[in-house]
Order: sequence, then structure tokens, then C-alpha cells
Amino acid sequence: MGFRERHRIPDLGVGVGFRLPHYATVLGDKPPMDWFEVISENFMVEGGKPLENLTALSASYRVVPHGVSMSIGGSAPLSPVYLDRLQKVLERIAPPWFSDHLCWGGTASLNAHELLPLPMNAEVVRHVVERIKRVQDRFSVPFALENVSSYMAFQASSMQEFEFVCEVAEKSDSGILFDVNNIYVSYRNHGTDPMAYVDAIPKDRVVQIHLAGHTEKDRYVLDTHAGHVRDEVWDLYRRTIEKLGAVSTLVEWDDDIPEWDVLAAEAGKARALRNDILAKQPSTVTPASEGRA
Amino acid sequence: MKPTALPQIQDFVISAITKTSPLMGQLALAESTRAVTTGNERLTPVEQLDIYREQFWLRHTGALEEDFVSVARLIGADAFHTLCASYIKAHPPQSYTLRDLGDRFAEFVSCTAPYKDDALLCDLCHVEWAFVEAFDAADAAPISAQKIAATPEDAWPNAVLALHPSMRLLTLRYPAHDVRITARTGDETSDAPLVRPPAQDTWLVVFRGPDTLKFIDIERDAFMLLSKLHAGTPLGLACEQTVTELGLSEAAFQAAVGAWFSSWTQWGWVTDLIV
Ligand SMILES: [Fe+2]
Repeated sequence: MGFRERHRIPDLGVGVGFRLPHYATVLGDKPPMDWFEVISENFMVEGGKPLENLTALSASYRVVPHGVSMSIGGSAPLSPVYLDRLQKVLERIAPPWFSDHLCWGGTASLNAHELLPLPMNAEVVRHVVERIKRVQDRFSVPFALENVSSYMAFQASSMQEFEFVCEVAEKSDSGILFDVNNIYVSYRNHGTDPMAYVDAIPKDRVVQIHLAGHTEKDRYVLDTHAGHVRDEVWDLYRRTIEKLGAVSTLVEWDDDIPEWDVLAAEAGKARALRNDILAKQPSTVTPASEGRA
Repeated sequence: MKPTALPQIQDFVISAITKTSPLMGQLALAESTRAVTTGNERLTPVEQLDIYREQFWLRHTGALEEDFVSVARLIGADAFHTLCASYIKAHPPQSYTLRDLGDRFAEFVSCTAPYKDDALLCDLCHVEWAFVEAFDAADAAPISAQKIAATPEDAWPNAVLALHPSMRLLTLRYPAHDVRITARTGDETSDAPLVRPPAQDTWLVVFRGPDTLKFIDIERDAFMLLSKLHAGTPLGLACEQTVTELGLSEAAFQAAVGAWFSSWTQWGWVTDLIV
């Protein structure tokens, strides 16, 4: 039995990230949206508005926490304080899964608050797998890791990125959060074949897909989560859904955040595209309908 | 030497991306970076690493800028960025969350030339940070009337008051909270210099009300008693010490203290009475 089936990972449809400029609209008007993703660390606090908002959000929508600071590939020990606080977030919203990034964020003496790429080789796979297992032992909620975008490649790497992502997921028995925009950014920055990447990903492990915009710089592409999803990324998304079927999809928009309607329309575009593809796949489950609330 | 072990590589990357100036001009570093990152047709190894260095400073300076808006406005963007760089060098970010980045900023500014002699600036750092801390401090419901009524009279002197976890008590030399408001209303990105108010001893309490963050400057005498209670001094002893230290008459103190407590409970400051 595959990961998704074993953990009864639901298809939540197409959602968006819950971001500050939309708090009032979302919590006040409760507009239709299939689901929301929240940045776990924003709610790993003692009290006040953040926790109130999280509770209110999860009363009306399905909510999945997505972390940025676990540093699963770091060399410093996993922070017990971090894991304790994450536990509280998971208890508060009882999500169907939670996620972080397949990356590292700093050393024992400095947290760079960055999704730094890992050298991709067998030794690092072993290191990361051992740490993922400790996280899995700690939490009963299924755990998924996201492929990150990157701007540098290591001499110490001996694997392709998709090999690394797949091997870590298989050996640790964890889920994959498949960020289609990040794959495109990697293609532009490192020349990795994005279609080969999509084709290599094990279908039964992908619990969620990310879509986002990026920014073209002079000599590289920066993963800014700003602006609309680019056409090339929509193409990759189409290919991804054709291959993976009905996987929960999330539009991330973190910089130059637009009005709610613009963001909701971007999710609507993904939903229409997804429904269109799924409708042509009679064997898959019925496409998710317009969200709760 | 070519680092191959993960900890070595990670130490190298962190030491490089936390440098304040572009890596491209640093010859020795360019050499050692070639052993770590590959580069490509468009970017040299050191240019690849420099993308992360640039992001490191943008992200951390940006976070401090958000938390200390009025400080940046008071000294100007360039000076603020330089100050941020020396702060981050002195106190590298260690917490998993950027929320904690500025937790030693006020302390740092208060002992760093030339700013340590700028009392308004130091006050502003403390005020800004108090708001950050009050924002997501633990919740606590106000004490109930029943609990107050049920406390026997002879238990009061030894009782310790639990105050709302969001409360931050600040002794200031300037009305820095007014400057903060000016800086945060209207155009926050404005370069117009802030007007420095005249010095004025201020006793400020920053706290979280039911809906928003609030602040109130209270009178010195009330602040003195409140500070003692906040530090966990039992009620009777805190009152005695306040009377003695302020040289108040018992009658004057008795006349004032009732009104203080009624305001404090009304503002939701008193959350429990530990007998
Ligand atoms: Fe993502």
C-alpha cells in the first residue's frame, strides 16, 4: 500500500497560503476556498492574535501547517523547543499531514532563516533519513518534505536532485510536497530536466503540490513567490496532475501579495486546470468541489 | 582543501553568507568557494554563494526594520542598516523564528557608541520591542469578581498578584511611545526626520487588550507599586516599600491605591491572586 493510501491522505482540492493581508477578509467573510496552508512558525507562539486567528481559521476551513525552520538537513541537533512548539500547533488544528523543506537552515550557532540546499549524495541521504525518522517517531501526523529551489550546486553532490528527493522519501518513508515552481527554478538555475523530474517522482508519495510565481534576475531565477504562476510552471503542473492525479494543490504568494480576489482567482485557475485534467481520467476520484465555508 | 563532510560544508557556507560585503571581491574566499560550489556558465561559485549572502542581509535587516520602524526613522535608513549589521554580527540569529531576532537589540544599542548616549533612541528600542513581545505573549483571563470576594482579608498582605503575561513595564526618559506612533502612522517609508520631543520622565505600560495592543503612561507612584507586584513581591510588602521609598504618608497612599487597583483590574492586568 502506498504512502497516501496508508495514511489516508485526502485530496483537499486547491487552496492558498493564509497571509496577513487577507486575515480580515478570510476570517470575516469566509470566502469559498478549498483549504489553507499556514506557516507553522507564525503560530508557534505563546498566545495572542496568532493563535486566535489559527483557531478561527481551522473552525471554517481545512488547514495544513507548513514549516520553514526545522532544518531537517542541518548538522546541529533538531531543536526540542521547536518540536515542542510544533506539537502544539498540530494539536490545535489536527491536520491531515504537516510539512517542511528538504534543506538546512543554519548551524548550532546561527540560524540563517534560509532554505539552504543540501549536497546530494548517499551520506547526506543517510543523515537526513535518520533525522526524519526521529521526527516521525515524535509525531503521529504524516510528515512530508518539499523540494527547495536553489541558486548554488555543491561539488560534493553525486546525485541528481530528483534522485535525492526520491531516495530520501523512500528510505525515510515520508511524503513529498512537490513544488512545481521550485522544479522550474532548479531547471533554470541548474539545467535539471523538469519533465524528467516530474516523471521520476513516486506517485503514491506526493501529498501536496505547490504553485508559485518567481522573479527573473539577470543571470538566475529567484524563488520570490511573487506574481502570477508563469506559463512554463502551469505546463509543468498540467504534466504533474496528469501523472499524479487528484493531489491537493496550494498557491503560494508571499511577496507583493495581491488583493484576495486576485489570489482566489489564481487558485481558481489551478482548480479549473486540475478539474479539466482529472475529468479526462475516468479512473481517478471525483474532483474536489468548491471549498467549505 | 575540499570539504566533503556535511558539517564542514555547512560551516563554510554560513561563514560566507554572513559576511557583510560581497564575496566577489574577497580573493581567498573565491578560492575556497571553488572547492565547495560548482558554479555554472552564468555564475561563478562565489557568485552563487553571494546570492544567499545578499538574501541573508535583506531578510534580517528587513525583519529588524519592521520591528524597529521608529528607530530606523529616527537615525535614517543608512545608519540603521549599519547598526543592524553590527547588531547581527554581535548577536547572530539563533532562534528558529525571526520574531526573536531583535530580542537583544535594545540592550545592544544601549551600550554601543554613538547610540548609547542617545536616550530617546534607546527608549524607542525598548518601546518597540515591548510591542513585539506583548503581541504574542501568553493569554490570561482577568481575575473574577468571585475570586476577589472569596479571598479572606487577612490573606491579602501575603498574596502575590498574577499580572497579564503581555504586560511590559518601561521607565523612559522621553515620551518615546508618542514618537513611535508618529513613525508608524502615515507614510512609514517616509524619509522625513522625526521630530525629537523634549525629555520627559515617563512610566509606560505596554500590554495586550482584548482586541489590540495598548499602552498607557501611568503616574510614577503607581508605576513603582506595579513594578514590585510585577516582580512577584507580595502585596503587603510591595505597598510598604512603595510608601517608604516615595516618602508618602500612609493616608495619601491609601487614598491613591484604591483608584490604581480599580484601573488595573479594569484594564485586565490582574489575572489571579496567589494566596
Ligand atoms: Fe513551496
